[in-house]
Amino acid sequence: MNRTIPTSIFAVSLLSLACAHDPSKELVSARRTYETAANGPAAETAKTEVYDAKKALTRAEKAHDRKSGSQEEVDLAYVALRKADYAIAYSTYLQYQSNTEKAKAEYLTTLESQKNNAQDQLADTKDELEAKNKALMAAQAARKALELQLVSALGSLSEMAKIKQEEQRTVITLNGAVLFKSDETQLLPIAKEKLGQVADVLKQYGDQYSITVNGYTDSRGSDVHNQQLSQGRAESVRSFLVSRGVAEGVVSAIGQGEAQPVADNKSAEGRANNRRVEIVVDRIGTPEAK
Amino acid sequence: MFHSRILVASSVLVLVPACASTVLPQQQLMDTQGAITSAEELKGDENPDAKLHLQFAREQLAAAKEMMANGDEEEAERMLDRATADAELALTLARTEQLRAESREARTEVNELRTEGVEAGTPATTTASSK
Repeated sequence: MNRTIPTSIFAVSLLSLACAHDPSKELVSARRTYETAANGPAAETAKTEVYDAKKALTRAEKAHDRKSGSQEEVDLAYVALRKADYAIAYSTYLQYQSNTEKAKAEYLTTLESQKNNAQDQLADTKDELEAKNKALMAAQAARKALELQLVSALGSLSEMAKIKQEEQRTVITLNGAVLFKSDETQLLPIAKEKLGQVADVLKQYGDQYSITVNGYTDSRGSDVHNQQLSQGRAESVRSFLVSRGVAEGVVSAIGQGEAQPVADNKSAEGRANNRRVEIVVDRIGTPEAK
Repeated sequence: MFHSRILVASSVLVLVPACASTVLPQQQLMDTQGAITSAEELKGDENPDAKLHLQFAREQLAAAKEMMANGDEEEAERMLDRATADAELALTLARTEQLRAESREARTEVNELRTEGVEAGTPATTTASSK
């Protein structure tokens, strides 16, 4: 018993001594938070603030050394803790500031880049439009020229042919007596000359036209003979047009015989009108500019 | 006359430190109050952390004034230091919150601009990393 009492007193004394030297919870927090600040991004981005926290912590440590657990230690540690918090918060602030500035700069760069791209695209589009306009105008001019040539060529046929023009079709009706001798399929020289002018225009259209040459006879003679004669005359005209450069694939020849008379076969005049060749020109598209 | 001047001068010299010790450092007081006001204007009360430190700053500022009135000068000045530290922290937290929102908005604007550019067929030719 005598030994127990002194031991207890000694233990309590030791405990008291230990408590007397323990740092306040504020100082513990201040040390921990300062370490966080000094070892984090703030050490680089908020050096001054971290240094201020260090100075405040040093003052708190000195107060602790002078009198552990004093109100002065608590107050100074509290300030040190807040300054360490401040350094970390300020570092975060600077990070956001940097992010904002980067984003704003990127916005301007992106805007400028998009503006440049849009201007480039606009310039390209203008160039393309200009080129298309030029091509269109050239095509229109070429078309106009060809139309004039065709009209001119058809005009030369007016003495020997009847011309009927529609929106997409031109029908040239030639009297058989002008083109051929009686009962023959060979074109007369004058016919070749006139048809040559038409061929010169038609060939420039390439495959933009579909041409059908129809041969007709009057009702005299056998049907077989008339069919053969009309077919032969149609073929003759077709061959001539092809020989003058009209695309072979666009011209066809059809012998119609005595079908589809345009006049009464009982009179000589009517039969003369029925002996004919029709050149039907169907326009398919716009000719290419040459 | 000469003695009376010395007496007056001595009284002034005695009074000056006496007056200085009965009020808180005015500049620090104004700075602290200014930081509190700025944090409030930045809607610091809407951010939990800033709000907490604003509250600490207000309470400690009031306590410092009371301590000074009671003649506890050293404790009053330390309490004012605490209030100042909390006020400055609250202000920085409020500013950070505001800047965080600005940063997010700026990034959103960049992303929207890029999306619009792609949709319009005029994407930006420079590439920058998104954050």
